[in-house]
This record gives sequence, C-alpha cells and structure tokens, in this order.
Amino acid sequence: MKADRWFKIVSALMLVVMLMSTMAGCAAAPTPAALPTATRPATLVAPQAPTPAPTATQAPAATQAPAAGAVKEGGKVMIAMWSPPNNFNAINTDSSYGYFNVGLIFDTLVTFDEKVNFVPRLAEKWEVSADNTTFTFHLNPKAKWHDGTPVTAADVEFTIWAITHPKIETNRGANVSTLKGLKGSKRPEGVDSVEGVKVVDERTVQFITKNPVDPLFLLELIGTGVWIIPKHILKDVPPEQFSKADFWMKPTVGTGPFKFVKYETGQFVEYVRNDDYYRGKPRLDKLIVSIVTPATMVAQLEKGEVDISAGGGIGDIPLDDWERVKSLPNVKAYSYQDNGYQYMIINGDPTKAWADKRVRQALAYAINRQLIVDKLLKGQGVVSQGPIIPVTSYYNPKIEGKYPYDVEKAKALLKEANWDANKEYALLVPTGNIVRELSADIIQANLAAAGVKVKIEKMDFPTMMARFGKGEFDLGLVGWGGVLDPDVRSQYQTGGQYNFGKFSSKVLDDLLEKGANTADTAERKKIYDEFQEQFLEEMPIVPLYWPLRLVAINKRVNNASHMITTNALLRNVHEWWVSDGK
Amino acid sequence: MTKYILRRLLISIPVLFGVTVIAYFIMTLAPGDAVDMLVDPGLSPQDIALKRQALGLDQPVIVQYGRWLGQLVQGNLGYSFYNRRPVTERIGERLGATLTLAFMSLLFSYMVAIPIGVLAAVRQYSVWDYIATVFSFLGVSVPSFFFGLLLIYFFALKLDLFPTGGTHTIGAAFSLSDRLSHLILPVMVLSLQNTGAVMRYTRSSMLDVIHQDYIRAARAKGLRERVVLFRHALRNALIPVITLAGLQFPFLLGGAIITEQIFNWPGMGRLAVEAITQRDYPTIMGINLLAAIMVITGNLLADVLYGVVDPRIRYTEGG
Repeated sequence: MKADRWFKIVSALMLVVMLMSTMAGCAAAPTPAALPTATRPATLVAPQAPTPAPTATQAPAATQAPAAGAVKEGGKVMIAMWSPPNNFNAINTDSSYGYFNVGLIFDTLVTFDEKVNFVPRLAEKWEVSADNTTFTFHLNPKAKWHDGTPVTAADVEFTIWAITHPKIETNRGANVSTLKGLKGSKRPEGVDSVEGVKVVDERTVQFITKNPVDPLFLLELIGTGVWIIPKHILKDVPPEQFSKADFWMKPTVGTGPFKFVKYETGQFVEYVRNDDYYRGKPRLDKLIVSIVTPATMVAQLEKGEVDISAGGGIGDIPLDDWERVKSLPNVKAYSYQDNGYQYMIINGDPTKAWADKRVRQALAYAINRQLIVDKLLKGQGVVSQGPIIPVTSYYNPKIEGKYPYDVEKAKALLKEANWDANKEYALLVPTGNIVRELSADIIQANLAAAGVKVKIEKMDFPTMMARFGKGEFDLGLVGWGGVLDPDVRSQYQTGGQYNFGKFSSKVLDDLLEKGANTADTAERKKIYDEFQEQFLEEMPIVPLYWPLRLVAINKRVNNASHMITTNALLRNVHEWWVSDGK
Repeated sequence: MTKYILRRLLISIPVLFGVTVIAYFIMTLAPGDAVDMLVDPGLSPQDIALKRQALGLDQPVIVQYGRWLGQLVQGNLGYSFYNRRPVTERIGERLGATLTLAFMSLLFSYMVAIPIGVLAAVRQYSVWDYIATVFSFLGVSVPSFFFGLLLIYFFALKLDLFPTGGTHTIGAAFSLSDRLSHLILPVMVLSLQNTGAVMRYTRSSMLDVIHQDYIRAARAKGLRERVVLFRHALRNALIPVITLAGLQFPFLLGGAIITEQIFNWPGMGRLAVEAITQRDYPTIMGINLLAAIMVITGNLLADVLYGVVDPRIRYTEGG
C-alpha cells in the first residue's frame, strides 16, 4: 500500500505536468485567433484627402442609400469577432478586440468619413496655429457622459494627464509624445500637469507641441487615437491601481453612441443605445458584439445568428469559406483593403550575410509575390511595395511594378555579392495565420531556385519575438498594421522600437527624421515620396502583400461598411438601422 | 478513515508546492513574455518599460516566483497579465461553465456506457457485443474537433435542432430548455471518447468477474440471473470503472479545450489556451494549481469510493 501511495503521488504530479504540456501543445496549434497579434492595428484612422481606392479593392459596398422615410427605428445588430476583449480600458486595453469595444463606449475628438477625411466627433471644430504648434479643439456642447455630466475640456486634459503619468500603464503613449513638457511620452516625476495641454474654457482645449507638426499627424494620433475618459469617475483612483480599476471591466459611463450593459465572459458584450448621443440618437435599440470562432462564424452568418463580421483582422471570413459566403442569399459579402501588410523581415546585423544590399534586393526579385497573391490569397490581395498605405495621400504610386519576379536578376545580384549558396538560413514563421504559413513554402522554393537555401522554423508569436530580440534568426515572416501616417521611424529607423531586424541605413534614417520634423503637408509628401523610392533601393525588409479583408454583412443591416482600420466600421454606428426592425 | 483522508490531505500540500515550482519554471522557460506580445504602434518605449515593471517581469524568475508564492500564501492568486483582473475572478467566471460541461458528460457517458458494457459482457460475442465494440472504438478514435463540426453541420445547420454554440441564447431571459439545448451537442462531443473507454472497461471488468468462482456459486445457489449480475457481479466489476471516473474528471477539464473552442463554450480549457498564448503567468499558474488540486482530489475520491463499493478494502493505520 505504501509504494502504491507514492506511485499515486508521483503520477498525480506527472499528470499535472502532462496536462500542462498538452495545453501548451494546443497553444502552439494554429488558432486563428492568434493571428491579429502581429497585425494589430491599435491606432486608428486616417489622414486626409480623397484618394482613390486601389484598384484591387472592391468598393466597400458603402452606404446603401435608403429610400427617404424608409428608415426604421429599433432592432438589434450582432457583430462577430474572434476573441474576447481583455477589458474596456480606453487607454490600456492590449488588443484590437478591446479597442473595438472601447470605440462603442467612448469617443475620440475626431473621426473620419468614408473618404478618409477628418470630421468632427467630440470636437465640433478645430483650428491650427500658423506655426503648426498650437491645435485648438472646441468640444460639442451637446456632448454628455452617460450619467448626464457634460463632457468638458477638463476631461480631455485628464485623459492626457493619465496617459503621461509616470505610474499609469497605457499603450497610448506614442500618440501623445509630440506634446510639450514630456520626456518621451511621460511627464518627469513630480510634475503634475502637462505643459502641452491647456484648458482654455469649459469647452475649449489646446494642444501645444514641442516642435511644429503636420496637422494630419496630430489629428490622427491624438484626434482619432485617444479616447476621452471621464475625470469625474476616475480622478480618485490611485495611479498604481489605475489599470486594475473595476471601471475598466464595467465601463458604465462613456460618451459613445451605445451604453455598456454587460459583458458575459468569452461570449458577448451587450450594448443599449444612448438616447442622448450628441451626434444624433442611434436607430438601433441594441448592439451586441459576439465572440465567435472563425469555424462557426460562417455558420452563424448563414443562420442569421450574427449580422456582421467585424473584419479588420479581428473577425474576417476565412479564405476557404469565401466562395460559400459569397453565395449566401442573406448576406452581402465584399473585400476591402486596410492598413495591414505582410513582409519578410531581414536580420540587419552588419556581420550577417544580408548586409550587402544587393543580397536583399535579390530576395525581392526571387520571391514570386504575385503568385502568393493569386494562388494563396485567391486574388484577394495586392503586392506590397513598402510600408506606406496605398489609400493615403502619402503613397507614391511610382514605386509600383518595381521588383517583378525575376530569378535571373536575383541570381545575377547574388553572384555580384559573392553569395555562398551552400549555407542554410533560418526563416522564422509564426503560427496562426494560415495563408502566411503556406506562403513560407512558396518563399522557400522561390529562394532555393535563386540559390538561397532556407529552413522554415514554425513557432508561436512570443517565441518568435524572443528570437528577434536576441537576433537569433536570418529571415522571418511578420505582419504590421500601424497608423496611416507615413512616420514609420519606429520600424525602419536605426534603434527604432519595432525595428525587429535592427536594420540601419543612413539614407532612410535621414529621410525619416526629416519627414517627422516637417510640418508642412506638401513638403512632407515630397520627403516620403523620396523615402519610398529609397526604401526599395535599401530594401530593409521584403514587402510581400496587402491582404484584402473578407467580410460579410446581413442584407437587413443598412449604412454599415468596413474600411481602412478596424474601428472605422463603427464610425457611423448611430446611423445603422435594420430593415426588419428586429 | 477520517485519519486516512486527513493524512492524504496533508501530504498533498508538499505535492502542490512541488507542482507550483515545476510548473512556474517550465512556464517561464517558454520564450517571450506577456509584454513581448504587445506590438502596438501606440506603445512608447516608456510605456513598455512601465508595463514590464508593473507585471514584475523586470525581475529574475526566482523573484517572480517568490512574489507569486507570497501572494498565494495570503490566499491571493494575483492579477492576470492579460486584463489586469484578479485571477480568481478570471477563473471563477469560467469554472461554472466547465464544471457543468464536465459533470454532464461524465454523467452521460456513465449512464450510456455501463449498461451497454454490461450487455456486451453478458452477451459476449453476440451481435450486441460487436456493435458495442465497433462504436466504442469509433468513439475512442474519432477526433473530437471532427465529430464536433460534424454535429454542428447536421444538427445545427441542416436540421436546425440545436444552436451552433454558446451556453445560452444571447439576450434572451434564462430558461432551462434553452440551456439544455445548448448543452447537448458539446456534451455529446466531450463524452464520446469517454463513453467508448468506459464501455470497454465495464465490459472487460465484467467479463473478469463473471468467470469467477463465486458467481458460479451464486448461480449454483439458484439465484436469479438478474440478482447474480447486478448484485454480485456488477458491484465488483464497477470498482476499476469508478477509479477511472476519479482519474478522468481532471482530464475532462483539460480535454474540454477543443470542445470548448468549437462550441464557443466559455470554460477553463479555452482560458488555459488563451492564457498560455498570452504568456499570462498568474492565470496559467492559477489554472495549474486548480488542475493539480483536481487530480489529487480525484485520486483521493477514487480511493475513498473503493472502500464504499468494496468492503474488503479498509484504510488502516499502516496504510
């Protein structure tokens, strides 16, 4: 009996370890929900200008013009996304799932219209000083918190105060770091107010920047990238406890078109309309954000259990189901281009084989990117030529068509660079995005044909990030979805925070610095035009493709359309209505 | 008996301690941490540094473990790295759903498997036996994700009898029939494998017993066949089957991962997968601790039940 007992204890221990390892095994399996981590567009919204949509994008089946007087009040709409929101912390929720919900409850100062122009939201108008350092926002006098308290300039000031507090956790810091009085994105210890924010009166707030900045940059990063939080609710929360406040799990006081009712963990978030919404009373009674796995999303769309797939990398239709979804009679299915692109990262260590730019250029010639788009994405994508988003006015169309698929050219460049074709290199591929995983095989075969031998190593996202951090890799496949502004210093400047390959080039560094420090929009455009051409010359990464987002909306829902960023779907949610009124 | 249980409980404390040490260090061996995951253009370098510091990730693993253990001793499982809510709350809101699913499928599989297992044993090599055998092998070998999707396809989409997922209709008032209709498909999937296994166990254990002398003696006494089977044979045949239940229960919690994923069931299995991909150490540890406790309790329960079912087994001072 004694031996038996020890046997049991030992086996209990082993069971736990085994249980743990099976769990870990499952985690490594391709759960599509893991995909958006790499392509997380957490900062939202676009700069200016009615630029034409790229040709590959089908017109985002925009506003279905309703017959006059046909608008029905009431009913509910269900939006499906893949994973639960972590919380509803408007300055610190660590996922696009969280910010999608934050966008229903809270408001930004500015939003944008279908043409990606900035339009009023909490701020009804704004002025920019001649020297591009002072930005004055006038708040909408009708704007109220859900508990009836008016929204004031003090709330805006408080929001920036919290984001820049040395002890308050946030992920909005980079959005406000241009403001005066900050070291990086935080205030120095002991300074309790932000020099760069001034309350002029109850309804007027001013932002003052350290240096002149492009108004479009400020309008995007602060105007559309910072959700205003209620001072009267949160002012007494101790800074160390700020991110743990219960309010972020039950955000009952917001300014948005819908009021938070409840969150049933892992299942759905329920909202009810805010009758006093300052941009007009929403037409729907209820809105529900439902958490649905990709496998069941299509079934639920078909059954009418959900109405809209959230798109934007948090709720897309799986490519394999696309044909079927298009044939469903009850939904309108379409694809659109957003701010996410896929690329191959290159180790920028100057002692590595990739230090010669001819080698990096050869990689771009060697990979048949059009084939990836045509075969793997079934045409639902666009070959990428760089990090600047084509729908924005800063995009330089002259770069299109450079680096066609050309094995001979690749071989010639490699030969010039004295390439050693016998060595094998590591290509890291994160699991989760099935198309990306499949593209690794094409890339491997393409590179082999040109004389570059690579070994595919699949791993989960945090593992890959750790390998990047230690520089233990040669190539890697990743995605990015950033702000629409062309300031990509964090990715491509020497020492940049998201410069995973630790790439360094004086030409790009200088152009990026110049672009960031130029406040004139037209002047800036010239700099970034030059940057995009130099980018392809230096080739710090190999741009691969912009995948189109595949989405579907039930035909009974009117006025809803996806565009450019994840939260952009919600830009006019108060105007949505359902034909059957249910 | 009480003394025995008490002693077993006392021994489980160092076992649990060992489990946490091993689990913590294995967990932190996985490359990357919760902050590495965050690739967000809104994060400034200072934001990242502050997050690391707030989560204690700037400290060596041994210090992190020490802090975690210190909290645990005070009955605090810490805050989730993922959503900054208390881990107890995170687990608590998922536990109910998982327990419901696990209990129901345990119940279902035993209710189905034991009678069929007995039948298969009593009518060994009959048509019934073969059918039962084929089904139990199917049950053990069909992967649950496949079976789950199959059920969704036929019963939810084609026949529209049951919902595709979730625990209840969203936005509707509570109703028992609604809850049950949501339970049926996931319970079927989760109990499939179990049912097959329990059926085989019952069958072979029953066969063992039936061929023993005391059964022959009972029959020779002229007892009715029903009494022989159910009072004499089944009671002894069930002993290994009951042990199985004690050992299976924790696995149902872990094994529910795929079922929960398919049916959008907000349970612990999904939480575990999420926590691991998020490198949410406090939540992973919380789930681990709970799983360890379940395994230990399951074992203890099985041993105690032994004694209840089989009077020959007595737990005495010597063990």
